[in-house]
Amino acid sequence: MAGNDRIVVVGSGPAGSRAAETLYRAGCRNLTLISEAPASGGQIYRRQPAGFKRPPASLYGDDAAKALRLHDAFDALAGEIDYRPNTLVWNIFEGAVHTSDASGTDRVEFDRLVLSTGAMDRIIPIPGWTLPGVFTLGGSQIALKNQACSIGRAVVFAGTGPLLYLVAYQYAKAGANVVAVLDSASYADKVRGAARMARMPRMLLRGLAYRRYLSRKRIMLREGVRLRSIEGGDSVQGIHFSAGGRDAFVPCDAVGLGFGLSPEMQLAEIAGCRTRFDADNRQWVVAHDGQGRAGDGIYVAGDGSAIGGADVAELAGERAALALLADIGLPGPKARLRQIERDLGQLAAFRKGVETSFPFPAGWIGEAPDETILCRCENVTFGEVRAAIDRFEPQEVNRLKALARPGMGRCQGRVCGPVLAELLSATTGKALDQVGKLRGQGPVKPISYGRTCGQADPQVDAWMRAGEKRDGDDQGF
Amino acid sequence: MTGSSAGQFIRLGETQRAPVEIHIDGESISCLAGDTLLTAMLLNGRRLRHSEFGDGPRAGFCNMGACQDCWLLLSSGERVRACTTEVRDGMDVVTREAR
Amino acid sequence: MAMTRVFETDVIIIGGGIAGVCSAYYLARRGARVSLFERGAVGTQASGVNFGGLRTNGRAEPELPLSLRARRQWQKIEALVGDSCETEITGHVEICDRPEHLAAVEQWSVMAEHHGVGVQMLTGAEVARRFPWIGTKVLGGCFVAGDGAANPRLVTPVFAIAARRLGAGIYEYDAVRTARHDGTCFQIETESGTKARAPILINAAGAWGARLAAQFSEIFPLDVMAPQMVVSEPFPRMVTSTVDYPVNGRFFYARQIGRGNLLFGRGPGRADLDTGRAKYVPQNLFDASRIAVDVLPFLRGRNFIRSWAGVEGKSPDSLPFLGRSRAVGGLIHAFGFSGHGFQLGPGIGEVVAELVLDGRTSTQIEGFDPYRFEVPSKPMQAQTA
Repeated sequence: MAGNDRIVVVGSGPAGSRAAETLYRAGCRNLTLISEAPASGGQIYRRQPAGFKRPPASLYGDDAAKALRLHDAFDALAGEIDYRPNTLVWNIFEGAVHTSDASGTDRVEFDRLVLSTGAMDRIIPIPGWTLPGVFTLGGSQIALKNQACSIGRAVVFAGTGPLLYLVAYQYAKAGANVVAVLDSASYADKVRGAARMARMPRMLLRGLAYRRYLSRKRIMLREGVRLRSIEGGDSVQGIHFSAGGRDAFVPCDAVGLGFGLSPEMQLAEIAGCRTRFDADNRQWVVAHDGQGRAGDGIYVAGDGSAIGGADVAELAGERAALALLADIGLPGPKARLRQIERDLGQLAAFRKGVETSFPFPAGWIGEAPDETILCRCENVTFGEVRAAIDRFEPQEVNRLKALARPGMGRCQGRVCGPVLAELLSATTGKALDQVGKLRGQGPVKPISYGRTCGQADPQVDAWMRAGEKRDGDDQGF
Repeated sequence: MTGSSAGQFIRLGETQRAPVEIHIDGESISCLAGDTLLTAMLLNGRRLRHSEFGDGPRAGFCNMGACQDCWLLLSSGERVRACTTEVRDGMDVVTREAR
Repeated sequence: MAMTRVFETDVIIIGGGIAGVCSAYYLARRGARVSLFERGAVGTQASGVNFGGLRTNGRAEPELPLSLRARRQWQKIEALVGDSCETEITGHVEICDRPEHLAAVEQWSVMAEHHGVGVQMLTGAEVARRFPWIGTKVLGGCFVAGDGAANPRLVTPVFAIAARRLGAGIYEYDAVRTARHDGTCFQIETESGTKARAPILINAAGAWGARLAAQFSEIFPLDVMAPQMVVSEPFPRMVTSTVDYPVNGRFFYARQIGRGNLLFGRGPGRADLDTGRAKYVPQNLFDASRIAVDVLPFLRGRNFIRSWAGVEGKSPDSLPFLGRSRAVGGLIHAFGFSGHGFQLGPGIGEVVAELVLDGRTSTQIEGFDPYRFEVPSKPMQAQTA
């Protein structure tokens, strides 16, 4: 029967949690949920480790109720399904996901696959961004939420996006010393954006409340900022920027840096999903049919396919699950689907407002000084990449990667890949979507040889063992 | 040890946890159960490692297992990603590899 | 290039892998007018994603003269093209832990010495002393000090730039749509509408070489293969030589690049001629990892960060199709290098230039006679699309 389809869900954030819950409720029993995290919730509703005692309200603020609902729903589900926390899906090949955990590697076959892989911070390298003490905005938030730590004694949050003010607010509220919030978006951007956000006044007001709180605390708030550099020898000593035609320097020992989010879509690409260029955001997203269908038996939901935020992710997770159920002959209630579409429509309109309020300052990338590191894994500078562009005239980013090495390191280009594309576009004058994107490749994250060797073919294993015995004292060959 | 005497991170709470002792380049540091290795090391110093390519010290970046900037070597020969690895008693980190 | 008229040239080369690009380079050096057409960017298929090994060690006898000729070019690559392409002469050792393998390698070494390869047979103890990073106990090894490696991602693009500087036309992202011979000249037309005529045509289409030959009604038994690689994160350098080790009938080969990444290969991956893309096969990665943790035991706790495969043509005996066409005067085949053509590249270029400009080559290439196989009367399934 249809409920016996082998279904694998990857990710236990809002999208993955809701997708799994919806599938389970509809009767799917052959259900595996794989997540790299030790506990569900994703980054946004990330839980603190065992032994931590802060109440939900102090971790999730106004979203505490939502976080708890999601956690509770997941916890009720976890014991009923094949739940594999602390497990990375690093590749997809011929109807199976390849996993890695502390004990080794494995493969899990699927008939249908739901990918809800989340996002990471979108980054623009500025001089000094690899110094100890510079973290992403999301990483700064995790230090606080998951570890009850501040990233420094005097912290500057810089970049743009709603997370900028949220994290600064959370830090200040928790008693950390926030020195400044430096937003590349201007006041005028926000006025334009606010008009589009007016349909969800509560969320708009919440953002304004964070700013008011920061102002009351006399924390420096600057808009229309152009970040120049993060200064320091072996660690952060301050940040240079200009605003309103003036250069300024703020001493600090830590910087939280981020310019919105970037989808973690490597697995979707490996699974064969097509990508689509979102011109408004200058960002590639996973193409799907509007319901999350992104390929033969492949479904996507949440920030891992396109940035929408936690509320969108929950709804999209449920919607992808409903699409999957319909495809295996278990259609869900139409009314629910219509409600999801209405809610998502409203959130999408709000999202446009957010994007208008916090535009991505892509222009900075073309202007980055030559000596700035572009790829932090392989230590490749903007100057080296520009030289390769000049010399080899590559037509697209994968070629540029092959020639100059950015994106070849441990992170597989998830940090610098979009930057590389902007640089190639800015340098050659070609449109951003015409220079392509770095292809997703497995392993999506580093994997230990010691773990993969356990899956070797028995003949190969026997061959190697026979070799070991050759010179053994007690076993002839 | 790992940088200047001051730590990069500061604790804002949650101090009532069991102590755990780990070693960094032979020196022992105390931390708390539930700390990630990144947290433990940055509470006690300013860096995790040196870039392989000579461009200076590094102390992680994304703190969520995405950027892969915080891989460390244990004396057992095992590699661990500091931001997603909880400290264990006796964990022994080597930050300097002979080149 | 926007060109609607037919332009005349001396030599047309189809295929921008290392064979085609080196041919363009050596022809241009000798003053020939040459135009090369490549469907994508030069050096992106097997030429760009291979292991980068510059190995004479272990080659079949028919390949040694060409390989040694190529080796002389690699030794002066910087002078030739203005860039070392990360070429390093580190030596190459083939290790043996089975008596039958050792015997075969000893036999090979005697033959290779007649060709002047420069071989040293090592005992197991000598291997252990010289390469302390090799973890398996071996009976012996065969070392060639003159071998090494280069960065394959750079070599072909760098040769292409050098060829252009010498006046060659290297046209990328311009696939040849039709190629025919009108009795006196070859005429090709490309996707961009370019038409070119030349008395000489070089078939350097790699894995697609048999498809191109079929346009001239020549049938060659060419299969497709996909060498597969795995690369580690960087760590302090300790692997001082390229190492080869056959396991269960297939070679495992490894080297560590100057930046510290360890690269090893053992395939095959999976290739698709129609899309031009290859995928690595996870099982072969697992097998290679298993071998690696014994041969290079310090890898056990280390991480790999990428794996890939490339599209390559393979002949039944793993030797290339290199020589003049019997069917069409002026057509020269140079394809099917079967997974070990990278090192041969500059040698192929010199030989092709000689065949074109001198009518003969000073290098023995008899073993590559394109007509050495009996072929079915119709194109094989794999070559017709």
